[in-house]
Amino acid sequence: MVSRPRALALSRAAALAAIFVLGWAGRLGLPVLDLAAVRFHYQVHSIRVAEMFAVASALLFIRAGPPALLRPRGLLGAFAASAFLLAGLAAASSLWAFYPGLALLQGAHLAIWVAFAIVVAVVRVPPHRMAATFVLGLLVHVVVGLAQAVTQGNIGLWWLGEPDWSCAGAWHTVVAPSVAHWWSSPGRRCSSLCSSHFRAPDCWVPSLP
Amino acid sequence: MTVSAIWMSRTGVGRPIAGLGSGLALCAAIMIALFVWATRDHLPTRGELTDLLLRPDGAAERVGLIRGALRLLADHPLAGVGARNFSGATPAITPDRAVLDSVHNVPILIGTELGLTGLALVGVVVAVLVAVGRRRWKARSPNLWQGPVAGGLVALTLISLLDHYPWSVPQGGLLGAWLVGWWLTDDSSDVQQPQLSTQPAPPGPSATHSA
Repeated sequence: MVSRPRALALSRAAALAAIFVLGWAGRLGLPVLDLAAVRFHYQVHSIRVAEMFAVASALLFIRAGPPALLRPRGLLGAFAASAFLLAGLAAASSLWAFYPGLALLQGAHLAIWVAFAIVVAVVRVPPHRMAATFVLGLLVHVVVGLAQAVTQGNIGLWWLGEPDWSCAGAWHTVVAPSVAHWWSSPGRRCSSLCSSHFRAPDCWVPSLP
Repeated sequence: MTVSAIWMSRTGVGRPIAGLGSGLALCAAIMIALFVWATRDHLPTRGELTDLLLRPDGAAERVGLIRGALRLLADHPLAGVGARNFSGATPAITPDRAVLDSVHNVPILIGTELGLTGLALVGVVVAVLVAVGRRRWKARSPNLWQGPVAGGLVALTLISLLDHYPWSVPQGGLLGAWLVGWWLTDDSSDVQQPQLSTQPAPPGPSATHSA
């Protein structure tokens, strides 16, 4: 039983919102770490829109008051324990990591993902509603991609994380915005798009003995 | 889609849907092949699309990264080099102290960053998911949504063997979390499902809730 049905309903709505914006690259930077000297960090120092909704969903679920989240049993309990331990290990690895901030942030991201998985498992959003929401979110990507292909450029959705295609070739415009955004990072967006995503242009070609 | 079709074909209701899914999967494979063939002359010689589909170097570079990752794992077997510190640790093993991108294999990446301890924890998670699937497979669960979710999890697992986004990018991690949560949803025996209370909540600060 939950004592706050409205919070439970809002938790489900937040979970659906997270699923809708799952692939979007929109994010909020966290001014806790200067990663100017770090390469291949994939914007770990930011929180995505979907993660914000996931956090809101988890907090609202706790607010709703069902005991399942605090006392998961059986296989779900084993999953929760091992997954949260993994997040804790990731955060604890800051003690021996070369970049401690990266380890802490990865632990925080992992904790959000695990919490979202548990909320989805126990909050029971109707499956057809989750699937429809996810497909609708993908359709937005399709519309954006087609619009980029037609206009051969940006369509001005910067706040959703649409990347700058001005330096990219024509075929880049049909790539999903968020996918391409994964490959970029502030300050070298264009160079990373125009080179292999495995390494920076001046990087070493792996040929270890 | 193939995994989904196999899963759904075990139930009578799911067989027609499985047949439709198999047909769609075949059509999709043919369409992708036709797309690559038809556009082969228009693709740039060095670009992300061709890197992924056509460039043999993509495989060679992945193998090189895996070798580097295994060397780091051998140097730090118990606890790894630290979460998200793969690239930061690579100068120690590269000839000119170059920084490499994350190894494109999630299990090896986790092993490198969190050591065998992290891999053991991931093993427990995977064992839980497999145990749930095994139980449902034996029970021939009539829930048709389990087919697509099983297919999604298998697809994400395969992607994880060839890239690192499910670990390094929130979109990938949340996608995995959503599928895992959905996969665990129907274990009603393990979870006390939330039900709406018939009594309105009292106003004021949060109170202690009984089980």
